[in-house]
Order: sequence, then C-alpha cells, then structure tokens
Amino acid sequence: MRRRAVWLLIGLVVVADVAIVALAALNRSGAPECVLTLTERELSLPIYRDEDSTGLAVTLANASMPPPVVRRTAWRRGTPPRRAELTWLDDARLAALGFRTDWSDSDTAAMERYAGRVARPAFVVLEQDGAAFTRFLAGREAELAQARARLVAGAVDAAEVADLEALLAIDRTMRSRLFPVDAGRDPRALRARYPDRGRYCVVPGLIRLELDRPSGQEPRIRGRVELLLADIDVPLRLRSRLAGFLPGETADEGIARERKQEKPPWPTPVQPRYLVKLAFGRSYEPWVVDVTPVDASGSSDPVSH
Amino acid sequence: MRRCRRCSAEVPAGLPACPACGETMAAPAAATEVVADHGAAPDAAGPGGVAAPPPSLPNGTVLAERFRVLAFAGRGGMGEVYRAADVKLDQVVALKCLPEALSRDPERLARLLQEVRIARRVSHPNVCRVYDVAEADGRHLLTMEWISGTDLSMLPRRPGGLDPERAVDLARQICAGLAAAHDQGVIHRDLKPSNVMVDERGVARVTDFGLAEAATAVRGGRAAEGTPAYMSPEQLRGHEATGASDIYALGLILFELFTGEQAGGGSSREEILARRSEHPPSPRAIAPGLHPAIERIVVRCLQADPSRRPPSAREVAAALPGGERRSDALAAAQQRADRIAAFRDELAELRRAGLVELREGELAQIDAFHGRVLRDLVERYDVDTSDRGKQLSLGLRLVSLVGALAFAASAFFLLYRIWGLITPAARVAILAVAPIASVAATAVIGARERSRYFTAMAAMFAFACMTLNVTLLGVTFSLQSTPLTLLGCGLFATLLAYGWRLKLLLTTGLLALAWFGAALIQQAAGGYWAEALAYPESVLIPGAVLLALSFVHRPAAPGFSLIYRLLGMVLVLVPMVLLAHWGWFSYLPLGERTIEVAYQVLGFGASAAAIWLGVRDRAREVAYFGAVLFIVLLYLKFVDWMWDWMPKYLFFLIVAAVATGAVVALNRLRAALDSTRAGSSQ
Repeated sequence: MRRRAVWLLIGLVVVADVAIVALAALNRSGAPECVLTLTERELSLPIYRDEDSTGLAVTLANASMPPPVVRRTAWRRGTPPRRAELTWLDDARLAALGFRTDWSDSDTAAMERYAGRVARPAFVVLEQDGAAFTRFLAGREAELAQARARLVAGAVDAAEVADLEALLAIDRTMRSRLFPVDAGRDPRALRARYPDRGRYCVVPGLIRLELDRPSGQEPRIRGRVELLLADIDVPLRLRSRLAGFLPGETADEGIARERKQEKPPWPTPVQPRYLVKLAFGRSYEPWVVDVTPVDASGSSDPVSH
Repeated sequence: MRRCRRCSAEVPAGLPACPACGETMAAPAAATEVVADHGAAPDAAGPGGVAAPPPSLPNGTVLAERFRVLAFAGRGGMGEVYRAADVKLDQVVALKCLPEALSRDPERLARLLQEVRIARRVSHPNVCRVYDVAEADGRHLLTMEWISGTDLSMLPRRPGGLDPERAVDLARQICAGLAAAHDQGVIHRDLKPSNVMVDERGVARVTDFGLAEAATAVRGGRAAEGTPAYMSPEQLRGHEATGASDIYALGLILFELFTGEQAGGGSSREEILARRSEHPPSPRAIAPGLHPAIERIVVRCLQADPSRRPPSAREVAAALPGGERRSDALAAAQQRADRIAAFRDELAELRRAGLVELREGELAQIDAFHGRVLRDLVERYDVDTSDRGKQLSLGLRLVSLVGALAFAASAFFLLYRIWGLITPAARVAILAVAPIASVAATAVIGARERSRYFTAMAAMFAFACMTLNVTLLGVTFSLQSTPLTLLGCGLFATLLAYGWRLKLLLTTGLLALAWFGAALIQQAAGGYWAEALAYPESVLIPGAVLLALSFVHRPAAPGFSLIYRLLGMVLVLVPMVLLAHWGWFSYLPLGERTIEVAYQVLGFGASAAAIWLGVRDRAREVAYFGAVLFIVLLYLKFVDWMWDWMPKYLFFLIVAAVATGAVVALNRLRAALDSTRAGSSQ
C-alpha cells in the first residue's frame, strides 16, 4: 500500500507539472494572439520593496482605477479612489454576462446583497490609449473646468480644486491608458469585434457588481472589471533592466513615514521610466517579451505602440 | 544407525539429538527443549526406538529449598525439564537441570551465567521469561516461565504450510519476540522451531535466549554453536553469531511455516553449508500461491551475505502482508493500555471495598504480567500509559503540526528568497523535486518511526510543497488558476493520508476535494470558481457525496470513517441551516421565502433522521450532530416568529423553557440507552 502510495504521489506531481508546463507551452506556441508595448503606466512595479522576495512581477493596471500609489494616498486622506464609470457595461451587457438585472426599486437590500457577492468570469477587451481613455481624460478636464468656475463663484474651496488639478496631472502622466471597452464570454467573438491586435488585447477577467447610490437618484447596480492575471512575472534575463526602478522603501518604512504626515500630499507625477513588450498567447495569458528603459533625457511620453 | 524424523539425516547411536537439525532423538518429541509441553509422556520411547531413561528427580523433590518438583516434563537439548513450584514466589516454573558438563567447565559456566543475566532483561509477551539460576547439590538449575502448550515444530501442518493467516500471525509474534531480545543486545544463536513455544491461546514465545551455550554443552560441541539445520552460513563456517544470524534462522522458520518444508537441509554440515551458499531457496517454488511479499522477505532473510538480510526482525514483520497496518495495531495497543489502567484502578477500588481478596503472590503476578505487557506496548507502539502521557501526546501532535506548518512557511520564504535569482527551468525543477523528495522522506521516516509524529510532519510538509508547486508554477507562467489545482492538492493530501493513516491530512484532502466539487458546481452556474464557498448549495452536494461515502466506504484506518461522516454532516447540515434562514444565498430561481421554508423542512427532517440513525446505530457523533442541528433550526425559527413582536423577557423565557424540555428529553434518552447497555453487559 505504502509503496503504491509513494508511486501514485510521485505520479501525481509529475502529471500536474507536465500539465502546467504543457499548458504554458501551448499558450506561447505559434504567433502571439496580440503584442502590446506598454509603459510603466500600464505595467507598474510594486510600491514597496519586499525584503523576503527576490521575485519581480509587473502589475497590469486597468485604467478604470487610479494607479496604486494614488489609491493608497486617497485611502490615507480618507477619500475613496474614484473609479471611472464603464458606461458600456449597462444592464443589457450585464444580463448577457449572466447577471440578474430585473430589480425593482424597493429591492435595495436584496440588490446590495446580490451585488456584494455575485461575480462572473468573462473575457475583457482592453484598449490601449484609445478613444475611451481620451473621453475619460476629457471628462476629468471638464470637471476641473467646472470646479474652477465654481471656485470663482465661491461655491467650492480652493483645496478641492487643487486636488482635482493634482489628480488630473497624475491621470495625464501616470494613469494606465488600458481602458476596458467590452466584455463577453467568447474571446474569439470579442477579437472579431476588435481586430486591431496592436491596440486591443483580450484578457481573462472578472465582472463584479457594486451598488451605486447617486445622490437624489434611485440606487442602481453597475458593473466593474477586475483582471484575473494582473501580476506578470519578469524573467530573470530582463530583471536587471528594471533593477534601477525598484522602490528602496519597505512597507514598514513607508508606513512609518506616512504616519508622520497628517494629510499626505498627492504623489508628484513622474514620466514612465520603462517600456515593456507584452505578448498574449493562445489562451490569452500574457508574458513579458522585452523590457526597455526609457532614456531619462527624453521629454516626451513614450508611445504605446 | 537411526534416521532423524525431521531432516532424515543419519544419527549415530547414543547421540541424544540429530547433529544436523538438532531434533531430539530419545526423549518425547514435544519435550525437545526447555519449557516442554507438560502433556508429553515423559517415559515414552522416542521415535528412534531407544527407551528413554527414567527422570532423575521424583515428584515432590525439593531443590535449593525453594523448588518442588511437580512433574517431569521432558528431556531436551539441555537436559531434563520439570514442572516445578517456586515455593518462595508461589508460582509454577519450568525447572531445567543444566548439564553437569557445564558445572565442570567454569569458563563456559561463567559465560552461560553472563548470558542468562542479559537474557533476564528481556521482558516481552513473545519471549519466554528467564527467572533465575540456582545451584543444588553441585548441579545448576535454571528457572523459566512455564508455558503450557507445544513447540512450533509440533503444530499440525498441511501441504503448503500452516493456514496463511495463522502463519502470518505466528510469524509476526516470533519477529516481535526476536526484535525485543535484539533491542536488549541478546542474540539467540540457536533459533529453531523447537525453540518457539505456542501456548493454548495461540501466543508464540521464543525460548532459550542466551542458552545456546548450555545446549552446545549437552551436544558436546564447541563454543555456542547452534543447530546446523537452522544455522546461518557464517555460523556454519565457525564465525561468531550475530543478530543477522538470528535473522537467517528466522527466515528458515518462516520458510517452514509458510511451505511446510524445511529449507536447505542436508545430511552434514558441509552439505548444508554448500546449499546455504547458493541462491536462497524460493518458498513459492513449493507453495506457488504464497503471497509475493512473503516470498520477498523470506528470500531476503536467507541471503548468504549477512549485510543483505533485513536489518531487524521488526522490518521482517513490517514486510509481511498487512505489515503496514501499524496504526490499527497502534490503536488496539492504546486500547489495551487503557484497559489495563482502568483494571488497575477498579481492582484497587474493589480491594479497598473488601470485595476482592488477592494473595500477595497473585497480585504480584498480575502486576508483573501487566508490567510486561505495558513495557512491550510502549516499546512496540509508544503507547501512553498515563493521563499525563496522553496529554503530552496531544501536545506533541499540536507541536508537530506547528512544526510542519513552520517548515512549510520556511520552504515558502526560502523559495521567495531565491525566486528572482533562478531561471524558469530551475523553478520547475525545484518545485517538482520538493514534493517528490518530501514524499520519499515521509516514506523513509514512516518506515522507521513508531509514534508517527515525524511522519505526520514530513507528510504535512510534502503537502505544503505540492501546494506551492501547483500555485507557483502557475504564477511563473502567468496561467489562469483553475479548480484542477484543488483537485491535485486534494488527491495528494488524501493519498498521503491513506498511505500513512494521517487523519489531519485526510481532513485537508477531503475538504480540498469538496471545494473542488463546489467549484465545478459554481462554474456550471456561471460563477467564479474560487468564490464557490460563498454559495452554500455548492458545498451541499459534495457534502452529501462525502456523507454517502461514509456509509459505503469503510476505510481500514481508524478514525477515517468518522472523518468522512463528520465532514459530510458539516458540509450538508451547515448549508441547510444557512439556507433555511437566508434564502438569498441560494442558486435556485425561487422566492427567498420559498427557499427558506423548503430548507427548514429539509433541515428538520435531516436532523430528525440523524438523531434516529445515531441512536439506532449507537453512533454518538451522528446523534449529537442531529440534536445540535435541530436545536439551532428551532431557535432560528423562534427568532423568526417571536423576536420582533414579543417582549424580550418572554422570548428568552420561552427559549429557556424549550431548552429545559430538551435537557429532560435527552436525559431520558441517555438513561434508556445506558440501561440497555448495562442490561446487555450482565
């Protein structure tokens, strides 16, 4: 029995490992499904140094959320990070993804419970630096213009306007430009709708719901997108190219520093420091193909493709 | 010239025993050795046809003012054997009158006495106890445990050996006795079937440890040389006997037990040696239906090169069919130790109450017997013999679990420490080798350890390595995680659990497999598999499968069935309680209220069924779980019905009244069960 158990256990390890390596090889075989050249905006490094790990991964950032460093500052300032609304993820699209949408206005408690726990896996189309991001930026600029007008009228205070200015500067230079523009269950159908493989990538994701309670309006359920394969390993041969950009501060040191600040300032916008060539394979799973540091003297924002 | 009835070798007239196999020629066959069957006819003529001389000590003779001869038992390799009463200790003993040749050779006598002193240390249920050496009228007397039974060579045989189960049982006992002696540094040197007594209860005892010297003196041989038919090649060449020589003899005994025939015999030492130097004989050539495991271990024992034989008799026992069922034996051993402790406590109470009168000798005998049994159980199975020991064992289990988790965490952080410094190929190699190596370590430790604490640690570590393997390989290649990860880890833990009888790993493995089942259901319902546990109904079906399995699958390992049943009940009944109160958890496209009512009915029905089943089958855990579920459902209903409109004092008063009623009802049920049990035990 024990001898058989030993062989079965070893066989199980071998089968599992062979299957995983075979799946990886299958994903990377042939021409990639798409290749994008992204920047630090879309593929961020960790914000703190991990003393216990020498591993390095870049995190694929979804433009509907601000960069991690901004989210952390917003959280510390007590203002929830503002999520970009995905207007295309309407009731019809949510229903097509398998969500319940036939709520009556009086079902608020049930809606909240439902939104809090139901998630559906789906393939998500991300658009790199396209019309969606341009629209988003235009919306933020209009918002700032409105705030400035209200400041003149004395309807808002200067700090609020300063915050919007700082955040817009961050959005222009640091926010990811990979905007979710569509989602569905069939990745091939999505690719057929978005054939430009240099601008659109299809990735596995998760559609979650949240209950939106706009002031003066009925609560409504809206969808948001999470990426399932956000952390992408940087291979050993490319690691040295990112070594100079790694944070010097550990989480403990960062938290100790932040504690000394009563109201932490918004981060100073910085230009992206590297380019990453990212490929997506047959199974829509990504890997890092190349990393290129951006010349420090270059003043322009690196192009995305 | 006579012929030996056992090996057919020619035996010169006048020799009391066959020079080839040591079979006694003149005395009654059953009385070949020290503790002969007292049922043997002491005056009968031997098979050689030579009339046996009358016993030299008449019944009633008192020797050394201590031993009163009760009956002549036989004449063996070391002289006459009597059943005698030790008047000092008030117990029956086997009294052996050692050969006068020994008394005339002080050097050899000193060596024998030294051997006897060492042999006295061996206390084991499968070893005949040596008590003392005394001197009377210039003759040396040896007293030993009196065993009423027969020796192994006299057991009724059938073609192909003893009944296989009986043979395996006897083989195990002989191995245990030999292992206990070897542990004390005592080498037998003359192990053979006639030195293994089997008492009326079927318990085998190895006799004559340390007495090869005396037997040799009787045969007129040189220094302790044993019996050629059961000697190892190195002994036949005149080399000193070692533990490996005993293992060889053990192999020959097992060969006979399982085939009914003697292995590698011959009419002379030279012929026997020539045969022993060849390839070991195959038991299956004689008994083709023999279990392959027996064939393998016997052939290993009979290797001419001592270093190629099994290192210990314990390993021989473990290699016998069913040898891996150590945890069954361990559980039985702990129960025995508990029974002895309970018996001692109860006996003390009865004596204090004056209900039982025991003479000092009887009490000492019982204590000595229990002491021997407990020492053996501790030695063999590391059982706990006191409450404090049990508490320590529990502590050890917890500490070993913490140790295993700490090892796993250490491995995890070590991997992360080197993760960025190695290539993907090296990562794959490290991640694959870690669980394989730790499985091998588990197997090695499990084969050597008695208590299984370190085995459990190694197995937990192996499981952690497997989990790291499938998780980190996925991370390395940025692959989507799938429920197959749970399947792999669950199967791995379950296999480890079954391989080494580890309950914690079985629980872990079954939970992982249940989660895998829930994840498949969640995927089928369109949800994200990793969040399956947020849906009680996903868990309900795997729980029902486990519960059903607990009724049809009866694992041999102790406690495994209970784990299946308890996990099954938890995974079925907890979701029922949740859904009975919060219908919105359900997948079902029905109104929340409808779902809640449906699960309330199901829950009450299931809890009633569990109580009924538990009482019927005397499965306490099932009955308790049913009762708890029933009460929880009932209280939830109370909250539903009354909380909002009833004054709180009244609400809690009703809850208290219902609880009191439940206590009364359950108490009556318990009393009924106890009276049934007490009645059935009378």
